[in-house]
Amino acid sequence: MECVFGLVGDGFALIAADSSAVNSILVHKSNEDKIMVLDSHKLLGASGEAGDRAQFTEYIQKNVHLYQFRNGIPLTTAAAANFTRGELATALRKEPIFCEHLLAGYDKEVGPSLYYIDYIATLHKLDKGAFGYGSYFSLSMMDRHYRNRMSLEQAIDLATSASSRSVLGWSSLPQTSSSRSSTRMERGSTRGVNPFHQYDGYVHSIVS
Amino acid sequence: MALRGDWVYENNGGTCVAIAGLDYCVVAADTRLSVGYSIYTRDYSKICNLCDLLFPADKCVLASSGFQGDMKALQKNLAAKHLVSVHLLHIYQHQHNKQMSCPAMARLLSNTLYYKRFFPYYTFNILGGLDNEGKGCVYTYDAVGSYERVGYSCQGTGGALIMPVLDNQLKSPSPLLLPARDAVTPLSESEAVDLVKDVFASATERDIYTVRFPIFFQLLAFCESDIFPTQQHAYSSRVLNDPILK
Amino acid sequence: MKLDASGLQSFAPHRADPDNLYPDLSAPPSFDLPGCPDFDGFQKKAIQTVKPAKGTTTLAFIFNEGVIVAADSRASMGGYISSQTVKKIIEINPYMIGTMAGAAADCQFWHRNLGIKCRLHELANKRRISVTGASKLLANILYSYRGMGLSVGTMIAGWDETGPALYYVDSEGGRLKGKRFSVGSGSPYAYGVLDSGYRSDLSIEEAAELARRAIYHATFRDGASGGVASVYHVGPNGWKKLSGDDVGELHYKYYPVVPAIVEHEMADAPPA
Repeated sequence: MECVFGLVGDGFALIAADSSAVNSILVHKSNEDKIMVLDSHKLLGASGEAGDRAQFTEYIQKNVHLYQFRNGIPLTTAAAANFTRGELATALRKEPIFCEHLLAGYDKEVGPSLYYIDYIATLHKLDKGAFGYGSYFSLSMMDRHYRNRMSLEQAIDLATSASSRSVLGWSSLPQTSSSRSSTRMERGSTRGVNPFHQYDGYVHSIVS
Repeated sequence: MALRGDWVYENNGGTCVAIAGLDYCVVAADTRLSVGYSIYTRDYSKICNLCDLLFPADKCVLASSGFQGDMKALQKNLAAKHLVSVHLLHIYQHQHNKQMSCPAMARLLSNTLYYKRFFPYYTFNILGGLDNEGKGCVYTYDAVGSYERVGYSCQGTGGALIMPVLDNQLKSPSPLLLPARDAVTPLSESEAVDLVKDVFASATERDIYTVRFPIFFQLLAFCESDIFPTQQHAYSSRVLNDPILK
Repeated sequence: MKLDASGLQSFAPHRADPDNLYPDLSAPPSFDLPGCPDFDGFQKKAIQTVKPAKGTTTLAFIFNEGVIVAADSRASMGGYISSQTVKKIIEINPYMIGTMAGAAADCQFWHRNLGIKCRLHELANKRRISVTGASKLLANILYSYRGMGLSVGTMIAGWDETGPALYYVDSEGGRLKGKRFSVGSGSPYAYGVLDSGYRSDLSIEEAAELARRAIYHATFRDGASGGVASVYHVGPNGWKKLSGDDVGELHYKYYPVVPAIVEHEMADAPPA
């Protein structure tokens, strides 16, 4: 089932998302990447109505690019989060965009940060966050196991184990994948194994 | 477009049938207009010769059932918006130096219906006529413009009663079959007319909205050069007022 | 509310008329909206009243030899079968086809519109549009009408410069790239057969047979699907229709009638 969560660690922020595209009782696809890469140091994970998610995250991505083209410098993570919030707030009074977002980024000055933005345009800065059905499991799990300044390995382990419970309860197909690097991002895979599935899905992370 | 109240539709009943043959097309519709159990009139033609308002179109006629207000609006829309310019000449004829063919008109009708997708014309239409090769053709529609070329069709309150009979008498192998199988409506024109009379008579037995005596339009392929609207005689549409039936 | 009618832009020469007595006749096309306050309620009731044709099983999958696309041919209005001969596989250009599921009018109209746009792209750029681009055009249009009750579930399949491609696009704005999709009321049944028989190294004949069987089994279990099972193949040289079979005949081909075994022959009692 739909689940996106993220956390901030020691010099990095990480987002994990499931990868199933579900339409009522059907799973149309099990390798859909719901994490939009905004730029080299920003990730936007979203879940919600399929059309809104794809269209809106792409809209944000293109606007973040546009800003960088025009001004020669990228938006800060906080600015990108506020921009996203603004667009959602505008849409809310016309045609609401039914998506919840986690925006993770790394800035030279502030280091890693994670923002939660929902469809009614709530903006909140977090160390760890989750939404979707998976949040019922992963939130408490992260509350229990999250520590400040976790290492990337520990964080990926936590992300993987947090998603494994929702596998049992809700879907056989959530996957996580990972990417890590110092200043750029790449996509790799995590090694999480649960009784039913070997994961090779998407956990994106940003490391300074 | 202003609406009084939030609902503007009424089903005035009625049935239309069309059969295409090798070189003819028969289009028929009953003439009753009713609301609930009340009959407004027994003498309203549901068939529109699309350019009748100004010039006759030699190519096709439109039969509609459903809501009379929308039927009228649709007919006027087609006749005015798409065929007439301010100088009362055919736009299409101006641009293409020919009258609109039945397949072109069919596409036009589909688009016209679809442009009202969010405020539909409550009409169920059949377009009958002759195609570019002089073969009979029938196009059948749903209310929001999906359409299909078929050999015969039936719409309206008696549609579900008549269609199985037409299937039984006329059904030919599906055009989608591959390898293709020969599909010709096996009736002569007079047989088709007789069949239509029969199905209307039967539908009348079970449908309160259908009257027994339909209006017929028969389009026969025997004339060329019908570009000029004055050549009205070239066109053999006739209203059958069978004295016995009437 | 302002309706986005940019998808309807007509490219025909505009006939400006100085003394135009009918201003709305030459206006670009647009959708007429009801003036009532409750648009959603009106839509719901209108759809129930006019019962547009719908109901379908369609499927498509990519394999080593290209893309196979298949569909049934039934359209129903409520419980009434309004047609058994619907052409649900729409040929957009010689290298690309679309399938229709959902409301027939919505699919027909927007595929027609997409066909025009693809052709214009070809004329403007001297090369065929990619499947990715075409599917995005359609998805963007459909997304701009979201919440207005369009009902479209379509697959765009084709062969472009990048090879075979398949996208699923729906009226909620969803657009998925994938290897294997099925859409429509019969799609769960079709998926059952398709998933169990799919391999990427199928031959064209095997793939076509798999698609045909999936459609047949869907029509067997789904009342809103039926008619003719059409199968298309898209390869590097464009699409080709491989077969069209009446599902009734397919049934007897797959399951020939065998004479029932009579276990006990009833013999007449001998006259006393």
